[in-house]
Amino acid sequence: METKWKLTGIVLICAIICSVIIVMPLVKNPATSAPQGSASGFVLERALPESGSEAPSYHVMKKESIFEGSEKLMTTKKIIPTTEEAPALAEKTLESYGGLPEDAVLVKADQVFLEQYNTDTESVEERYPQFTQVIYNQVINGSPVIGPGAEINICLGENGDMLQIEKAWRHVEYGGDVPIISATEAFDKLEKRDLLVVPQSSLKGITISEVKLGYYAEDREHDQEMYSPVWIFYGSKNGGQPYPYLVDARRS
Amino acid sequence: MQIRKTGITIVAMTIVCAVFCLPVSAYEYSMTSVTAYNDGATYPMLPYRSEMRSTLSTWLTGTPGWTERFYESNGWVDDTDFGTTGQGLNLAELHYHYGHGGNDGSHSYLPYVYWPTTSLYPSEVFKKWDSVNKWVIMDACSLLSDLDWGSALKYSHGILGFTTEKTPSTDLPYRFLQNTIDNDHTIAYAWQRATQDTYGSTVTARVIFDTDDQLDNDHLSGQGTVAANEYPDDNVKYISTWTC
Repeated sequence: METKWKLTGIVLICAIICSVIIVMPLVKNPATSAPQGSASGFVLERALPESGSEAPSYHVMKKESIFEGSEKLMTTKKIIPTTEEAPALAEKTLESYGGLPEDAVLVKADQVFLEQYNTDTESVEERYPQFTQVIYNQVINGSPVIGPGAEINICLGENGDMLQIEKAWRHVEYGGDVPIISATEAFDKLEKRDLLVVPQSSLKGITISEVKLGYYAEDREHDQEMYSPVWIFYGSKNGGQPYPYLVDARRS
Repeated sequence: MQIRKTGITIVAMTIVCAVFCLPVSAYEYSMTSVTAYNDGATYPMLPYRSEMRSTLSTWLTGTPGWTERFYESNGWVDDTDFGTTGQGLNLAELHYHYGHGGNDGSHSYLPYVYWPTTSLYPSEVFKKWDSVNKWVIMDACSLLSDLDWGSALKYSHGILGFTTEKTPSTDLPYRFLQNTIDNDHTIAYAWQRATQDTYGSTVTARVIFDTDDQLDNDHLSGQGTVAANEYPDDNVKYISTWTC
């Protein structure tokens, strides 16, 4: 009888020790234990688009690769162009750099400020103008081209002076249709993390708000001969800004 | 007289040896890299772990004469590398971290291999980055979307990183170091230029500096002026954010 009580006691003590070992780390680090986002994987906000079994590819015929700028970019200025006047100033600047390509679409014009931020009060105390950015992306027959190699990014300072210009542009010609996978098949690949380029962040809790067929352009220093179709899944986490997750659309 | 001459010769030879023969390492850098995670579905394996290290090594240990203070990767990376106990990145001027970044909706964090059990939150390095360290590069997604990381800067100068998603690229450290070493650009501008050159408009980059003087004037050690440390320490930081 006494041995039975002893055994029960030992079992109870072991159970308590095990509980402490398993539960304590979770209690100790509640923040790090929280999952990233509420959902697992990718959540579709809307139905996937229909598509044909083929899509156009494009041959790169010519590449414009310009990057000019100076340290003046980061210094504070008295005044910088407004977001309304900046696109016209950017187009004028582009006249000396081969002009604005026909397949360029204005993405945004943004003012950039040096912010004096108080970490104690979590507030911006002062803002000093640095430059105004005007950005154009490439859109071919309604299909967006994602990536650093299909972009014009112009930074303007006082009096609309050009402080920095990046023009990475590939001029393309139709290169024939290629067989593609459907958006549904592409979504399966996305869920399997079979991405064209893996982002450096969690691939869970992502809400897909838009899906498009488009192209990917590598950065201006890479030799890319073709634009091949990619499925672009625009997804966001925690209500943040959408990011394009890319899946190779070619049917192998 | 003969003994005196011999003594002078020995002293002179010792000085010559000290100057020319011993390795001179004026500046040091450190690196951490987490590319293989236990939860691969959430944080997929990242490429270029060794390439990233060799990019830094090639640029810094060449003519600029830097030495690598420490390098830790994957399961060896922990809080102490980020100065939580006063050492780690506090032992070197420049620290480069390559890996995934995370955000739990309230704060951003660096996940380690055994995430979610192990990770680094800004609260763990609050005012921990001291005077020997000057710059910390966070080559990871979204980390600087959380301005609390700025509180890590006690006397250290700046943090360079991103506020959005991004993808791995060895071009990023290559271009940053080329900008700082070959072109003698300031740290802040070298980062601006490298990020804009490497990524498209879906990516947003940011710098957080302890003082505006450091943001304007800090060059990589040995490549130009480095502004003074802030003194006394305060809670004001200087932030610039741009679309790449």
